[in-house]
Amino acid sequence: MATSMATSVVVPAAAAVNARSANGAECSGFKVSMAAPLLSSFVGCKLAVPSSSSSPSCSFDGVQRRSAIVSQAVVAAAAGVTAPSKQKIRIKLRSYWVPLIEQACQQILEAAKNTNALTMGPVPLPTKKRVYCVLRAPHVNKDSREHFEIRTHRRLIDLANPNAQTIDALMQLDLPAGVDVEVKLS
Amino acid sequence: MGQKINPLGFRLGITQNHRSYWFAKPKKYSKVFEEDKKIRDCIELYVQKHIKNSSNYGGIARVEIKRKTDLIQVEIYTGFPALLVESRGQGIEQLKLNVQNILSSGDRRLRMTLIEIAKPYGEPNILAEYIALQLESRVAFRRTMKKAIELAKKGNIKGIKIQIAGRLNGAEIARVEWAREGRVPLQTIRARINYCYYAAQTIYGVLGIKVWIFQDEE
Repeated sequence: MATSMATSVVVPAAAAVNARSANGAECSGFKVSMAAPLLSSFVGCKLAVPSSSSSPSCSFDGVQRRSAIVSQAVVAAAAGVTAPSKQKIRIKLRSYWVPLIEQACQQILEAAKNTNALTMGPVPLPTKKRVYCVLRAPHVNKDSREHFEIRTHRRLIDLANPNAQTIDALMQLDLPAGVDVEVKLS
Repeated sequence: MGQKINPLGFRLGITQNHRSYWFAKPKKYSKVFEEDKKIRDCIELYVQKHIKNSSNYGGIARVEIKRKTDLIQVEIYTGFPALLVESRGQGIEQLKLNVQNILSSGDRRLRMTLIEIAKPYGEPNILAEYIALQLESRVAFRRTMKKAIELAKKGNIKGIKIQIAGRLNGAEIARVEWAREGRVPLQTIRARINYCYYAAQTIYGVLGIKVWIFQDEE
């Protein structure tokens, strides 16, 4: 519970930093939707940690014992970002084209492997199909229709023990257009 | 009449690539799609307005739009790039400004490139525009079709079919006429067939022009 309090304190500071990446950071689990210069969330994370170390003591003013626990958790989280430990990056890729998403996966795995982070994946999640059934004719003939579908292919990549190099490499990556990336830090 | 499926849609995924590459979640999909349409319309409008002086047709084969999260890449495939680069040294700055005004949030960068196509008359869009131009200047349609086929044969194509429908030569009763050269296997999915529909506005009404070009197999 102490750690969850720590992350909820970190998020507002990070949101202020990331005002430019429009899709805002939600409070649940620090999920940030990605934009092309990927992983600006990491910038926010690094900057947020030292500034938030002061705020727990402000918000838990009268309760000395609780503030100590929270500041400890924040320090642990800070240590977690800079030093390799329990930090984990979860990257979720979505696209309508299989070759593009495969290429994106390869690029991310390469960047991660070159900088010595443990990689898990790419795990192919089930493809989502949105099916639209429309009438073929412009006027009558209700019985004759045609089906169209949009297939969304999904992949999941986990990176354990990311270090600053990994984050840099990932930020400089230029993924093909048509692939949507979502990064989650935990 | 309604029995033939659009050969472009039929081959999407195999031998036919999409013209827009982006991903959008279901909520934003319609907005992004609308924006795409606006970009294409804007380019078309610009070409029609500015190329009125010269040979009167713009020669744009297709517009490809690729979206990354903060970059929009618009690639205009044209057979006559000189027509679009109007004033000296300015390039397509004016067009780029127009398109940027249309895009809703100025948060994203826009990159526009002109790509030249070798053998422009091998593209059905450019050919159809040429035919429309001739028909609007009241040239006999049969001569137009033959000339268009000749122009297209200069490129390496294996087959071409042109269909013109409407009040041909201003006749009171509309009819459909078509001319074919080589083979155009519409049922073969592995055949690379490019298709375009274009409407020519004449004083007698609208003439629908359909052009199929069979490039190669696989």
